[in-house]
Amino acid sequence: MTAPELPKSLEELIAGSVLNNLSHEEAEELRQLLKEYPEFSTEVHQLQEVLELIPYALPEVTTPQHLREAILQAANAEVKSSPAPKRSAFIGRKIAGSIAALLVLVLGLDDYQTRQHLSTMQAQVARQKDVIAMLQNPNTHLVSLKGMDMASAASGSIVMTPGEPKVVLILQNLPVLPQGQSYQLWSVVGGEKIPSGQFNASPQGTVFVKLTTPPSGKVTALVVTIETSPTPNTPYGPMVMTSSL
Amino acid sequence: MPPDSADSRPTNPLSQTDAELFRALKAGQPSALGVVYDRYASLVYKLALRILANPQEAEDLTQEIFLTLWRSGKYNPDRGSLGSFLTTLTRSRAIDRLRSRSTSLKFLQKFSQMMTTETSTPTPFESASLSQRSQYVRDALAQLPDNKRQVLEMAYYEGLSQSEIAKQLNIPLGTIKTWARQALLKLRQNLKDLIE
Repeated sequence: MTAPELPKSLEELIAGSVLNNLSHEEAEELRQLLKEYPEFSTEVHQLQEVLELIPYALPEVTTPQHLREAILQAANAEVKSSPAPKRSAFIGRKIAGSIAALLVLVLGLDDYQTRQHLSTMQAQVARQKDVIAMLQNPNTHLVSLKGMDMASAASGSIVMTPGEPKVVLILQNLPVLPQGQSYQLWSVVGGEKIPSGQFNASPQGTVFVKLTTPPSGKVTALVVTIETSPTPNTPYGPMVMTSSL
Repeated sequence: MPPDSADSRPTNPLSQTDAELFRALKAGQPSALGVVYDRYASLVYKLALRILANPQEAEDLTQEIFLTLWRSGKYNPDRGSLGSFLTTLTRSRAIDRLRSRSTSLKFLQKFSQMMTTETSTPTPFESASLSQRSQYVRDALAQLPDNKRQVLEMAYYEGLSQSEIAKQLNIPLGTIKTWARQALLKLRQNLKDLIE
């Protein structure tokens, strides 16, 4: 330590800043003190390092054996590949990241209560694996859907691969519909709306389904309506979500 | 000063320091990534698994972390230890996934701001094997009073705000803040001889 003596209050303020638990007043006080005694700023660094040592104490777990090989292969592939594929790989990972984030929301992984619903979760994990398999295809992309009118809080994405009829729809904050009504996905092709599957929201307002659409190269937009017929040929009900491709 | 504990690192016959390894990594040597992986994968994976509670996601995140290190070269050995960089990044991205908040960028900014001091020779902690380091931290944490350790761990692993912790434990916010701060300071004191 370079500083001979650290006032206890300053020490606690620094700990608070590393833990991100300072009030506005305390943060201001710390700023002033550090301006006055810049030598103490090394304390911030050191405490940050100490905080990051905590996970060392976690019990040992076995790291999956295939993981090392997978990572080294991916790194080697990047060495060999030209900058262009590297970029698309990056976008792929970005998509994977947003999908993962969205799935977490949809599946409610941060909700302790849902941990009880383990068997449901396992089925969902199987579907996640489908999505992951899709994401391994470099052409797969993500189209966002926005809610409107009675479903204005709804949002989500559709995961699609050009040339592939199967798409995965991941939505949140959709109103739960009364019995006898369903959400209907429409693919707009040449100005015409083609029915592409029905679905309902979970009690939490989330949707995670695999549907079939026309080849996505031809689809120019996606629309969700509310319908009473289980097999409508043309939309009658109100439009609640849209997306343009 | 090369660490003299080569025998405790059977997977690293070269006994390179983390800084040396990272330079090799930046020079595009995949073998260096293998060594870094052998040294830190279990730490990254167990942290990811602790936060995400899902082996598949923990695996994905572990891959993402090592490939980020490989690709971006954002880590700067002059600014902090590699272990801390990896745990900070892992924790940030894991909590990010949990809460679907985009804090990764903020993290990198924060990390570069925080890590502004020189690191020269490895500390005794950095020269120790991973299992020795784990034991050091376990011992240091075990010396904290239970309630303070619990608050510190909740803040660390669950990304909970102090007021969320106060609510969950039904303890006044001021107390939670003080406990967390004291726990962190005590932890540093317990590890002092190893990290300085």
